[in-house]
Amino acid sequence: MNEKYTFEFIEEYLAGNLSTEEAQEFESAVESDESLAKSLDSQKAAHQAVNLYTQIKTHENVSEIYSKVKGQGQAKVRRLGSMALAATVVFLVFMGIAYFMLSSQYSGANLVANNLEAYPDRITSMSDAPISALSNAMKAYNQNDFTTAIPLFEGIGTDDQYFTLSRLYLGISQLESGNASDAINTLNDLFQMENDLKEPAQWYLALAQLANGDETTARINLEDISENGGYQSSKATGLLKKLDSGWRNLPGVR
Amino acid sequence: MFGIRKYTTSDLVEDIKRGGINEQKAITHLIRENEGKILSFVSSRNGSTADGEDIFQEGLTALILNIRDGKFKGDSSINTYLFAICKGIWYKKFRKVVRDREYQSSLTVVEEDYETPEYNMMDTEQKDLILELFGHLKTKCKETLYMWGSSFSMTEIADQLGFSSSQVAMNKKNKCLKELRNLMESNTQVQQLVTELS
Repeated sequence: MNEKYTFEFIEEYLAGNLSTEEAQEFESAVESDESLAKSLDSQKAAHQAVNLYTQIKTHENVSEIYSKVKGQGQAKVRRLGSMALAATVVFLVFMGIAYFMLSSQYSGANLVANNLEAYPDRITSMSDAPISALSNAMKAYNQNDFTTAIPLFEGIGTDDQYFTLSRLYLGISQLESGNASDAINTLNDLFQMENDLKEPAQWYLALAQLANGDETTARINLEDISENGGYQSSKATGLLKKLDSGWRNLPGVR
Repeated sequence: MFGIRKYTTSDLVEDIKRGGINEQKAITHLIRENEGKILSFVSSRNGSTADGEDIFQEGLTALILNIRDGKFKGDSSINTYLFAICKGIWYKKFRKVVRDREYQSSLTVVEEDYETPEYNMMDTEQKDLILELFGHLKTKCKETLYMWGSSFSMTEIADQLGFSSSQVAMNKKNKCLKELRNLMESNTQVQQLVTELS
């Protein structure tokens, strides 16, 4: 092989940097020199290998950038997903609070609790009231110690001048202490009796019935109070409105 | 102040030729601009999303190689060119299964409108063979040959790889290419592959 045709010379030929004469001379030499032709072929093959390597590395570069772009897109989606999740959580918490507030406002038990006020002390608070066995009962009642008050009121005899009042306080104490069933019996008896405590007895009876889950009977009493304009009639009207509210149709509110 | 840059075709061509971070940004822009269109095209021909992603990445690779090689100068829309390349790759890759009329007509459009990209679709085994061959070279050699294969000038190669002059870069390229040629002479598998793909 002609020593003139070095690796570098062949590179210049392949790059098209030779003059036309130089190129033609080289091509003639290749035709007559098998060894030179082989060198040219192997150098062309090396070029082709570099092209393939460049293609692979370029593709790897593209794939890497593509994955990053897709990753950013997915991260964006994930961010949006997280935001949506956060919004959903906030919404659910809001709905939970709203539901809790609604159920607080509209459940039978809470309607009773919101409307139940102990009947005022008409015995010991009156200046001319006699000191009697009622004193301890009323003391417990005024201190909201209804569990203590109940047996004391139950001990008041029918001959006591404050018997009917004590029955009212007993019924209220029973209702306040969570014994709605007993309260209904006590207050219903009082309501059936001819006395001047029928109106408050009916009000607390309605509340006791509501607390006991007997909404139908409670409604009859409340409507009666509301129509007749008696004791706590405005509260009875308000309570009826809440009982008729659509919110009470939500599951679990009643 | 931090608005999204509006690229023209010539901006993209220039940035891809410059390489580095400019090229990465240009590729990112091309991905965002064209991915949906290519995936829809492949999907409308019963290709999967994975097929579409493969075609798109191969099309982008071919586009970049054509830009570096000066085969695409930015005389027409780069997006249209990329789409035509991807269509060509799709039909080439799936020519055995695609038998609809659009195959012939679309392929003709690609060939008439654009120079067919010199893009060799290699399978994993073929790629591994080439990567294994280059694995015998030192990192600097691989970088030099990669840049040279990407049509960077010797001055650019010298600048980017830290050679003292373009002549030093040229000498390095020749030395590495010679080493590669010697490695290939004892590797018949690679010789066969290169012949097949030539």
